Order: sequence, then structure tokens, then C-alpha cells
Amino acid sequence: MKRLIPILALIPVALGISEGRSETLTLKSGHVRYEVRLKTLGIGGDNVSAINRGVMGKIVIAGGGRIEGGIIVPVIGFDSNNTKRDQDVAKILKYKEHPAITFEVVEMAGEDLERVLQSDSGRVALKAKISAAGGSKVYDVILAFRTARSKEIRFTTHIDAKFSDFGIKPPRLGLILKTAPDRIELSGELVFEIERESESPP
Amino acid sequence: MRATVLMLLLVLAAADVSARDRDSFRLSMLPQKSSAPDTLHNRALEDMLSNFTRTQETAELPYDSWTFTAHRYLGYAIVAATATQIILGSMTWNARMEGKEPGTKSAHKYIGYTTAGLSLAQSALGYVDFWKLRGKESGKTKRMVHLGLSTLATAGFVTAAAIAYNSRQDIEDGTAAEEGKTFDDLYSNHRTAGIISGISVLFTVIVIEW
Repeated sequence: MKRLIPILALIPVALGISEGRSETLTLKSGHVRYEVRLKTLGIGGDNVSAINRGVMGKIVIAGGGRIEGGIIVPVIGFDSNNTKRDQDVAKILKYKEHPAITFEVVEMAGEDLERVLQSDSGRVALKAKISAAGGSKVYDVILAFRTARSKEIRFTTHIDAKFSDFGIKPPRLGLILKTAPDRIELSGELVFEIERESESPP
Repeated sequence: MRATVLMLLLVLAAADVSARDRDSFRLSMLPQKSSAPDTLHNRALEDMLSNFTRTQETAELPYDSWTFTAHRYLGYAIVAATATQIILGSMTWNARMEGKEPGTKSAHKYIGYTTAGLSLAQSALGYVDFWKLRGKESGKTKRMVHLGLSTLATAGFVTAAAIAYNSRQDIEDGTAAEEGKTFDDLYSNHRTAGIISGISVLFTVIVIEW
């Protein structure tokens, strides 16, 4: 009987039902960017973009393929080379009530996830939820990936979004009347470090 | 005996699976669709967001201070004053050229001195803001151009005011008459300084505008 107990305890391991086995992708570096085409007095076009390097994130792919975590983009952190504009953007995004923009994966095919973790490069489709200023929308996203080193993956993506997706009115700003259309292009380049946890915690 | 053999087989299988799994996550176990089944239960993101929000409770907008606000509104006032001065200055000049006594003289004079004073204050605030932003690399060229143009505008306004004041003094104490100076001789430099200031204000707004 004494010999039987440890042997029985190994049965779940033998069947591959080890809990706590997961992969953690920790954001190492990267940025997100927005771009809008401003019009002056309703005519012309002036492309305005801002970069945010204060992005944080962690994605945990737990056993069973459950994806948790996501990306956090601080609303105060966009840099467009224009201090006033950056302040206006933070106010438009309601930085006091909603200090972060979040990005989370809500659906991804198992085979695509496998490709991301095992191939050197490629493109996968997924559904991602972006939340900003109290509103949110699920987008169909194409994510390009490339293994940078053995333990790093670089992701790049481009999303065509709208201010109205988040319940925000397109801004009208400036001394001379400048207006932005509803469309806002979002893009990102993020490098994650992969940490594989293949054994149960003690 | 059969039970012992079965147990041994299980142990061997367990050892084999564990060794393989140390190197790679068993993706074959993943379901067809991987997902966060209910985003409300994305615990990891909620925790990250909660920690982040705590750090942002006292966060302020970058470079949000009274000097920036004052500089901005003073800038709007100077633009309005400059536009008014261009109109009043032209009317005053044209009336003088026609030998008439201009009705716009007093308004042009007082708005001019006010504009020169506001420009000096504006430049002082601008230098303070420029110093505050000294560590910010992005937009540095734009800020340098803005600084140069606005300094030129202020110099032009102060010069125009000083020329106007001296010319008025020369007219009142009779020096201008003694030297035979005409209105054109006395005020052409004043006009040039005003035009330079007006152009500088226009471009400094274009440079810094949203």
C-alpha cells in the first residue's frame, strides 16, 4: 500500500493533466501609435501622429489555451511633438476616469496560437478587445509576428478604428478651426519575452 | 503481478511525458479556439489595470502648469491685438499721408503700448516654458523656431513702440521741425518694425498651432 500511493499520485502526470503549465509573454519593449488626418476649416489634410512608449503588458497562456492578461497603454504618455495636443488627447480620452487604454485577446484559433509560439514568423488572425475612455469594441486583428531571439517575439499590427467605437466625438481643436474625422489609425510594435513554465509549482 | 506491471507502465509513461513537457508546452492539448472566455474574468488584466490605476491617482498632465496656460491665452490676446494694430496702423498711416488728422491715433497708440507690454510678458513666460521643456527631445526644433519668431515679434513690437514714443517727443519739443523731418522720416521705421512683428506673430502661430 505504501508503494501504491506515490505511484497513484503520478497517474495524472502520466495522463498529461499537469496544472500550472503555462507560457507567459512579458512585454519587454515597444510602442503604440495613433494617426489622424486633421482638416483645417473642413478642407485639406494634415497627418498628425503620436507615439506612446510607456506600454506595459503581460499575456498568460494557461493550460487549456485560456489567454489572460493584455496590454496597458497609459493615456498620459502620447507624444506628438506638441505638448498642447498631447494634453488635449489625454482630456479627450478622459485620463482621470480612465487612465489606461487596454488591449486584450478575446478569441484566437488554437492552431494560430501554436504557430505564434512555435514558428519563426507569420501572420495570425484574432479578435481583440480595445477599451478606451469608458467604451470598448472587439476588432478583427491581423497580427504579424517574428521570433527575434530564441526567447523573444516581435508583434506588429495595424487597426482601423473610430473615435465613435469608444463613444468619443471626433475632436475639434485649435485656434483656427481644426477637425478630425471619425477615423483613427492605431498601430503597434511590441516585443515580448517568453517564459515557459512546464512544471507545477511546488 | 499484472497490477505491478500496469503500475510500472504508468510510471514509465509519466516519466516520458514530463521530460517532453519540460521543453515545450503541449499545444496539442489546446482547444480549437483559444480564448479568454469572458473578458470580465480576465483576472491578470484586471490586476494589472488595478495596480496601474493606483499609480495614476495623482498623475497630472505633462507640462500642465499656469505658465503654459497663461502663455497660451496671452498668445491669443496678442494675435487679436496684432490684427487690430495692423488695421489701425494702416488707417493712421494713410490718413497722415493724405495730410489728415487720423481719428485712430489714440487707439493705435494705447493698443500698441499694450501689445508691446503683453509681448514682453509673453516672451518671459515662453522662456520659462522653454526651460521646463529643455529635457524633451521631441518637438525641439519646432520649439526653437517658435522661440526665435516670437522673440523677433516682441523685439519688433518694443522697437515700434520706442520709435513711436521718440518721434512723438521730437514732434512735441520741436526737434522734428528744426531738423526738417517729415512724418515719413519719423515713422517709416516704426511701420517696418510693426510689419516685421505682424509677420513674426503670424508665423509663430502657424508653427505652434495644433
